Order: sequence, then structure tokens, then C-alpha cells
Amino acid sequence: MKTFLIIILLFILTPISAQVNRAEITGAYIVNLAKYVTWPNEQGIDSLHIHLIGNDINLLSIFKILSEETQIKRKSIKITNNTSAKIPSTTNIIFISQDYSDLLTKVYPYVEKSPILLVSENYVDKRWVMINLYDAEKSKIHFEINKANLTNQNLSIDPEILLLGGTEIDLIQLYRQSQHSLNNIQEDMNAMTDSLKRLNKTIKRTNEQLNKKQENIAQQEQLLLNYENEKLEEKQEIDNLNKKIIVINHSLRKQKDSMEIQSRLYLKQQDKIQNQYYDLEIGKENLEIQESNIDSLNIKIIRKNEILDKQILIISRQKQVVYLFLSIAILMIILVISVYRSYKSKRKANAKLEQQKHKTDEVNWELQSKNEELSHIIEKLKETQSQLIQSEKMASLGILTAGIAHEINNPLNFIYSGANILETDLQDLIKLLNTVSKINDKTIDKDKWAKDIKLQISDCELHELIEIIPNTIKGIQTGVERTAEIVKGLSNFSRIEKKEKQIANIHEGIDSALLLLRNKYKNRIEITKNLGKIPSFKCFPSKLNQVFINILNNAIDAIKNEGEITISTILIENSVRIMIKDTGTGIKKEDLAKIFDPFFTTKEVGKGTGLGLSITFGIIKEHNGTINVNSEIGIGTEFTIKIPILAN
Amino acid sequence: MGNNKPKILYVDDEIINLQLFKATFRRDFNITTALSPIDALEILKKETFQVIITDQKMPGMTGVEFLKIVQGIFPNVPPHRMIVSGYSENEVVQDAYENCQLHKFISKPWNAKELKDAIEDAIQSH
Repeated sequence: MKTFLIIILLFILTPISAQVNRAEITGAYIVNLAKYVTWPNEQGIDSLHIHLIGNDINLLSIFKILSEETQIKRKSIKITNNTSAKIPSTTNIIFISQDYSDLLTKVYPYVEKSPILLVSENYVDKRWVMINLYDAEKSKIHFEINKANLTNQNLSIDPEILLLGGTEIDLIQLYRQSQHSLNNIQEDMNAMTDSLKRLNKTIKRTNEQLNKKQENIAQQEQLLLNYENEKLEEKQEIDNLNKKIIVINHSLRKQKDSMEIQSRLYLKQQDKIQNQYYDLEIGKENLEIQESNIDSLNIKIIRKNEILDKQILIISRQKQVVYLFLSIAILMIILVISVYRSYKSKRKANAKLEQQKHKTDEVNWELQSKNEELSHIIEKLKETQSQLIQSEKMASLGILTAGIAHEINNPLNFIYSGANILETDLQDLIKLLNTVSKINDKTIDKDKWAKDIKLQISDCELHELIEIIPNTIKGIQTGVERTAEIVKGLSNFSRIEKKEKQIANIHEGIDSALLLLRNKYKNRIEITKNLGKIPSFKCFPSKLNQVFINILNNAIDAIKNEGEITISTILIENSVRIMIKDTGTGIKKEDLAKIFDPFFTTKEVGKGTGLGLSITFGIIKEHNGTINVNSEIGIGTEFTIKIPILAN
Repeated sequence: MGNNKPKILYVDDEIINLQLFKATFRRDFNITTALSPIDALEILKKETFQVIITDQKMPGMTGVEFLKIVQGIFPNVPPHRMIVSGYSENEVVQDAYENCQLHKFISKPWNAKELKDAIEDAIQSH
């Protein structure tokens, strides 16, 4: 009954004067709104659970009263309350009071998953609203419904609900609003992009200015560096000057010292002179005394006066002599000193010279002994080299042995078993001929004789014999020819070299090399020969054969399966050119520079000596020739040998 | 004629050797020849032999390599296996004795009597 009262209150008590009234109206709204809503699961529940988010004590107490006195759809009402986004699991209705509107967006995802009616209060963003209570003009409370959200919740609502004083939210308006706000955001973003672009430009400009400034700084730094360098140079010059000054000072001091010594000597001499002078003075005094004596004795010695005058004259002369003598003595002393000095320095220089001479002699001696050692070593090296050449020859012969044995044994087999066949077949033929020769013997039975002949013909299969015999003879001939050729090739290869060059034809050498290598390439590698008109010329033939064997053997080894080797010779302006080209694996770029080095090999241990090409190089050099190589991985290798021949 | 003669397959890359072998032993054996191991393997698909004799040094495949394939096809003797060659490293022959049930290695040039005895010995050995 009270609920009805409240509904009437809703419409009558329009101005709200107190918070209690507002709470009562809100409670009444929620309870009545709930009656127009249908939950999909409402059949199975006993009570409707209303959960309040907020701390309005008045509203809470109103709900408590309502829950005790009222029922919705004949179900009791259960009330819970908190101020967080935690929702009890049995909730059917949530009311978020205006003070906690912030929580709505947090609650919404939970609500969306279950059939819960969300009632908000004065919520601004209509997109999130299911049912929103709002304060209208004249202090009235109205409500608005976003039907779309309710439908999404699987909640159906009776249209009559609007009679309670509600409106539907215009969805199109909502869409436009959000579109509008989106547009505004887009415009803002555009404006921001523009300003960002502008900022970028200014940053670029600043960067450019910075770069310029950095360049300036770098230039200035360079200038500074130059300046510092100059300063350093100046300082070095000053240092040098200082050193020079020190040296000069030093020599000056030395000169000063020597001058002091000289001045001291002078002083001593002066002293001596003075002493002599004193002596002279004393003599003078004595003379004066004598003079006075003479004066006093004048009268007495008038006779002696003349003698005395003479004596005075003598004394004065003696005086002059003494002076002269003194000056001569000084000069002599000076002379002696200078002579002594020059003598001393000369002696020093002489001693030095002698020392140097001694040293030079020593160095010379050492050099001589080293020279001897070196020529000894060179001789040894030459010996070793010739040994190496010989052993390399033997080693390549060793490598060839397998092939050569096979090559010889096959034609030998032709001869040996051919002879054997001829022997057996001849026996059969003789037997048959013996029978046939009895044609004139009249004692035998002609019928039996004819039968015998027929039997023997079929026994020895005569028709086969007639075919076999010429074939066998041909086989024997081939065998002999091939054996002879191989033996010739071998002797070509291994003949003992004379010290003088011999006239020989290189084509023969190429042929014998090919013959010895036949087993390694036959039925696998096609050999093409483009041989020009090359005259026989003076050379070391067996050495050149070794060259051909080495290069051809490498070419054959470089071709893994099938391929081609082209040998060309040509004479250009008294120079023989031999080109050997293969379609093998090629030589790596980093190896090309090393292939002529002794002991360099890419073959497995035991397959190559690593000496072949280095010896080849030496042999070509001995012929005043050159050897070049061109190679590309996957395409092949070409060796070009040039040997000058004299125009005889 | 010759149906009761033992069947022998001889493989060598020298056609003269094939002709000579056939001429030498035509009275004693029923001989089939092949110029390469590949040809020989083709023949072995259709016919069976008491003895297979092969050269060692041949282009493409050595005699021992050929005998290893034969060993795969015929795990047991006959066919008996023999090598006739002008030259061969000892290890290679040893390998053939151990892994291909090689009956005998005979050097070229062959002695007709020695070779015939060896073939007959092989045939009787099983």
C-alpha cells in the first residue's frame, strides 16, 4: 500500500525540499522501474537483488524499509551496498549514485556479461546509460532509457514504463554526438600533426644550423690544431736554440777557463819579470852608491873616471841586453806553450784516427768472413735446390706410377694373351689342315673323312676363328704400339739432362706428358690441341717436359668429373707461347699469389709435393721466359708460358 | 651349345681386353662382356652368372666400387667375384677381400692358364 502512496508522491510532491524526499523518490523510482523490466532468468529466483553503489544513508534506509515492506513481481527484495566496483554475483539491479558515477565505466564490463539492470544518476555520457535518473527543471526528477543497452543485456522492457515520466534517449543524436566528438578529435589530431610537422621543420633547420656550427667548430679546432702545431714547432726551434746556446755557453766557459789559465800564466811571468826588475833596481842602486862613491872619490879617482865612464857605458849596454833577453824569453815561453798545445791536440787526433782505423779493419774482417759464410750457404742452397728438383721429379713420377703401370700392363696383356690365343687357334687350324691334307690319301674312307672335317670345323668353331685371328693380331699390334709409346714418353721424361741446351720440339714433350697422364684423364676429359707451327729450338727438353707434366697434372686434378683441357701453341716474334687451359674448379684469389711458392699445395697430404709449380717457375726462368696464370673459381684456369727462341 | 658351360661376366673398359678374354676362354666358358660397370649392372638385372670378373681402374667407377654394389644385390656367392687389373693399391684389394667376398686378384697381363684355373677354382669352391 505504501508503494502506491509513493507513486502518488512522485507526481504530487514535485518540489523536493529535503534530501529524505529525494531519497524516497529515487527508491520509489527504482522499485517501480523494476516492475516494467523482465529478466530472462527471473522465473528461477525468489528475490530481486538490488545493489547500491554509494554512501547516501537516507537512500540506504529508504531501501531497507522498501525491502521489508514491499515485493516486486511477488518476489522479496534483497539490498546490498558498497562503494567499489565489486558486484555481488546474484545482483539483478545496480544503482550508482551520482557521487560514484566514476565507477560506472568500471562496473559496466561486469554488467555487460550478465542480465543486470544498471540505473545511474545524472550520468552525462548517454552511451553508457541503461536507465538514468536526472534532475529536470523545477526540481523534478525524470528518467531516461537507452533501449539499445537494455536489449543488449537481454532485458525486455514494457513501453508503458515511459508513463512513469521517462523519455527514450535519441540514439541518432547520440551517434551524431560521438561522431562530432570524433571529428573534433580528428581535427585536434590534424592540428597536432601540422604543428608536429612544423616542429620537425624547425628541428631540421636547427639541426642544419647545428651541423654548420659543428663544422665551424671543427674548422676552428683544425685552426687551433694548426696553431698548436706551429707553436710546437716554434717551441722545438726555441729548444734547439736553447741547446745551441747551452753548447755555446759550454764552449765559452771552456774558452774562459783556458783564458784564465793563460792569464794566470801571464801573471806568473809578470811576477818573474817584476822580480828581475827588482834585481835590476837593486843593481841600479848599487850603481848609484858606487856613483856616489865615485863622486866622493872623484878627486881621488879622477884617473879612474874614464874607466868608470866606460864601466857605466858597459852597464847600460848590459841593461839593454837584459831587457832584450827578457823580451826574447817571454816570446820563447809563449811559443813553447803554443807548440806544446798543438802537439797535444795532434796526438789526440792521431790516437783517434788509429782507433778508427782499427775498428774499420775489424769491420772489414767481419764482413769478409760473413761474405765467405754467405757464399758457402748459397752453394749449399744451390745443391739443395738441384736435389729438390730431382726429388720432385721422382715424386711426380711416383704419383704417375699407378697410371703408368696400368697403361703398360693393359697393352702388354693384348700382346701376351693375343699370342696365347694365336697359339691355341693355330693348333686347331693345324689339326684341321692335317685332316684336310689327306684329300689325296686313297686309303681312307672319303665319307668318314668328310665327317671328320665337319666335326673338327664345328669343334673349333671355324667361323669364329676366322673372325678372331685378325682381331687378335690387331690387338697385338695395338699393344706393341702403345707400350713402345709409353716407354718413349717415359724416357723423354726421365732422360738425364745435359748441361748444354739441345735442339728439341716442344710438341713431342707435350705428347709424352699427355701419354703418361692418359690414365688419369681418358674417357673423362676431352683434350683439344691447337698446335701452331713451332720450330725446334735450343732448350732443356726434359725440364720442359717436367713443366708440361706439372701443369697438365694440376689441370686434370682440378677437373673433378668431366671437363675439357685446351693446349695451344703459337709463335709470335721469336717467342713461343704455350697456353694450357682447363675447365676445372679454379684457384682462389688469395691462393693465386702463392701458387709458385715452394711447398704451397692445396692437395691432400701425399697427393702433391707443393714443389711442382715452384720448380716449373724456375725452369721457365732458366729459359729466360715468363709464366702467367689466370683463374676464376668455377670457370677454370689458364697458364700462359712465353719462351724466347733465338732466331737461328 | 654351351648351355652346360659356366656363365661368366667380364667387365673392362678396354674393348681389346674384352675381345681377347672372349677369344681365349670361348671354349671353356659361356662369356658375356660389358664395357663399363653400369652396363654390367644392367645385364645383372636380367641374367645370373657363376663368376663376375672386373677390371679395377675404370672411368666413373672402380672395380671394387662395382663389386660393392654387386655385394648389395647378391649377398651370397655365387656369383663369385674376381679382379683382373694392371695396377692396384694393396689396401684397395684388401678392402675387396674383406667386404665383397673377393675370390682372387689377378694381375695383368694375365696368364691364361692361371686365370682359367682361378675361375674353375672359384666355381668349385661353393
